[in-house]
Amino acid sequence: MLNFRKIKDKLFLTFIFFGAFIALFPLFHIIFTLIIKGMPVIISRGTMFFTGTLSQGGIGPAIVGTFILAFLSSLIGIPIAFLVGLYIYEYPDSKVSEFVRGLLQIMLEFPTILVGVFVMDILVIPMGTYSALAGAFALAIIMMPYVSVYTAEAMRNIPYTYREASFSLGLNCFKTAFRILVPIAKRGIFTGILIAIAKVAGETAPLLFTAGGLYEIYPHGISAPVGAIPLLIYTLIQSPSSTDHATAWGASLVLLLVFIGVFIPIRLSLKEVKL
Amino acid sequence: MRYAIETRNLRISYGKKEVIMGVNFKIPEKVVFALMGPSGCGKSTLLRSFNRLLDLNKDANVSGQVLVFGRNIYSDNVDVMEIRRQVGMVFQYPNPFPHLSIYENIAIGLRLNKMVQTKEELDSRVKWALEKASLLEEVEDRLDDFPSSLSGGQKQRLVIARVLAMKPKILLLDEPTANVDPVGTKNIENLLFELKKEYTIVLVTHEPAQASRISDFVGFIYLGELVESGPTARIFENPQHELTDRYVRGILSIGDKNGRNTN
Amino acid sequence: MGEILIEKIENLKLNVLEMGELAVNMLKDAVLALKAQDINLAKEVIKKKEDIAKMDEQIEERALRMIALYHPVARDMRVIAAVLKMITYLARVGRYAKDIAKTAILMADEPHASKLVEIPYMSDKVVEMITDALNSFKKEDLSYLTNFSERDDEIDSLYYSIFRECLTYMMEDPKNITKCTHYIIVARYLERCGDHACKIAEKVHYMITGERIEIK
Repeated sequence: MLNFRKIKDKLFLTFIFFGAFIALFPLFHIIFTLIIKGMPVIISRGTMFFTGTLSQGGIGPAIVGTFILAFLSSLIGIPIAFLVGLYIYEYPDSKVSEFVRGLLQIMLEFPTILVGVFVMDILVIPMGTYSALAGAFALAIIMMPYVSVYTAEAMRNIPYTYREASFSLGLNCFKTAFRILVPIAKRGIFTGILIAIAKVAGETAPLLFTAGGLYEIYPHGISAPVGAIPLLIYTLIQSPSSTDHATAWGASLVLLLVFIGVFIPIRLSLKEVKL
Repeated sequence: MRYAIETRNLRISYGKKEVIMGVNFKIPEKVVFALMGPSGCGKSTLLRSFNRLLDLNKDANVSGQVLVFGRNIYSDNVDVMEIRRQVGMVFQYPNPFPHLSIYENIAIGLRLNKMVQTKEELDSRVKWALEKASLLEEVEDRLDDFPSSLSGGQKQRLVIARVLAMKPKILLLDEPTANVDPVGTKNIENLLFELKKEYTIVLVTHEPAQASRISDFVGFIYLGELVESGPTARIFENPQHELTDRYVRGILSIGDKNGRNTN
Repeated sequence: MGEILIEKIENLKLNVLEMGELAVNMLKDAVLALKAQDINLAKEVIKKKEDIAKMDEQIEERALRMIALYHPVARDMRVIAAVLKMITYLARVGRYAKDIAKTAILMADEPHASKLVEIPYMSDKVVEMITDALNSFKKEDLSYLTNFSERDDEIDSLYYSIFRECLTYMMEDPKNITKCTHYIIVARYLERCGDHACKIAEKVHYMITGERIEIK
């Protein structure tokens, strides 16, 4: 009897390990492949890979473009999203709040390519050109629901007793929210922002009809087109040239590194959220 | 005689559920008045009506009057925030703001309420408050440390200091030693005993022995009603109501609904 | 936790009632020994004094321990307060019984004078009062304590009448002096026991109502 149970136990454990392995396998495979295929490209081209333009065999403009887009979209999206997050936290029962929360749910799931189409319609066509502004705008729209939801969640995680304490000192709604509660929640809010940026830095579809792409010269203005690493990879893969393909592998590895570079701080700061 | 707090037919309900059913209190000045009763009978709710902290709960409905030094705090032209500064509160879970230093915890209320003009004033008020809360000696060389380095009892005294800095007239304490170790509890009880010389103290306690140790007057709340109130010595020697007698002797079960008087 | 204390208090009360029964029986037997000039009975009473002293000690110890461990309040506290005083009074009743028994031994050789007829009656009245006070304690019922003031007055007047009659006898015939002195002393003991019965009644009244009264 005992033996049968032990066998069942072992079988179950083995099954779980196997399942976990299968689930994680693609991730490891991707990382492995990127390193194997991308590393040689970067090594052979050296620092020029990071600083040169496409015809020089480098992805410098794309890297700068990604950062510019991340920065601009944060500038546009975060403040509003933050305030929206605070609103739905502070007044969870109002009709407006319910409506906004529904809207945020939709925005979270909305097809990103349609966001691109929308921004193309309202910005690109009237301006007559692809632009960093349009790209940032599209990314901001995608980023906002994440920031709002994470902000509201971080605020909600603050123990109610700190709210009571603040009010009991005679502070009003505003002072309580901005001077006491937000600082307490700042780690959670910051983590949410990082997560939103990480998501948006890897987006391709919304940039297709908005940013345009710019890889031979460095970005020179917000109403001018701009490139981004994911967009570049998309473009290069479709080219017949094998040099371009090699560049794509290198760029993919760089994108992975950027992603890890944002991801690790997120993990670290999540660990430290202790109240 | 002027009462620090008086309630007249105070009723509080959450939605349809009545939690406090028409209570009439008279709490004199500069005493320790203990509110005791089994958990869940409305004591915390009642306490929060004394400084209108109950307003934070949108489901709560309050009718009747709560008079603080003769003025009804639920009438229309009342500055709620001023009331909360006059009637300070200490909570069940010691809650100094975790992201602020010990010094800042006390300073922030003073700053945001614009209660001091200069840095020197702020400094001296913070130190005065810590001294009043019997905490200064223990922390004066580490005012920039965070509250997480303090024990439960010390945290609670920091909260008391934070309240005292507002120069209130009344202190409301909601089971302040429920989450504090016995030594910390003793320190806080001694502190309250000292403070009652200058402040009116209303103390919600889950432990009748605490009420008997440090209070001058006691009110027994059961299922939302004020069953009995009076001088502590009388309530613990010869309670008039059967329920009170059973409660102080530790044999009241929450389902009891006896209305008999012992005499 | 309160239930544990209540059980212990019930046991404490039973102990006190046991002690009370012993005291009452000692008193009854002592007066009987005196009347019947029964030396053996008197000696038994004298021996029982040790038992009652031990009960006094044990009950006090138990009561004090309850205070230290359980911090009793309200009714529980009042019962223990009553118990602590009652055992003192009952111990005294026991001592008076012993003293009466000793007197019985001293007076065993000579015939009694007629006055002894009043002493048994007085003793019965006193025993009734102590018993009623103990019943009131047992049942926590005030009705047993009505008329205690009047009954105490009766005991007092019985004492004085015995006193005066003995004086008369002593003046009539000096040979009566020793005997009558003993009678007066025994009557005095009984009158004191009556006082103690009143004191017990006062404590029981406080226990039940929380009010302090004085029975005069």
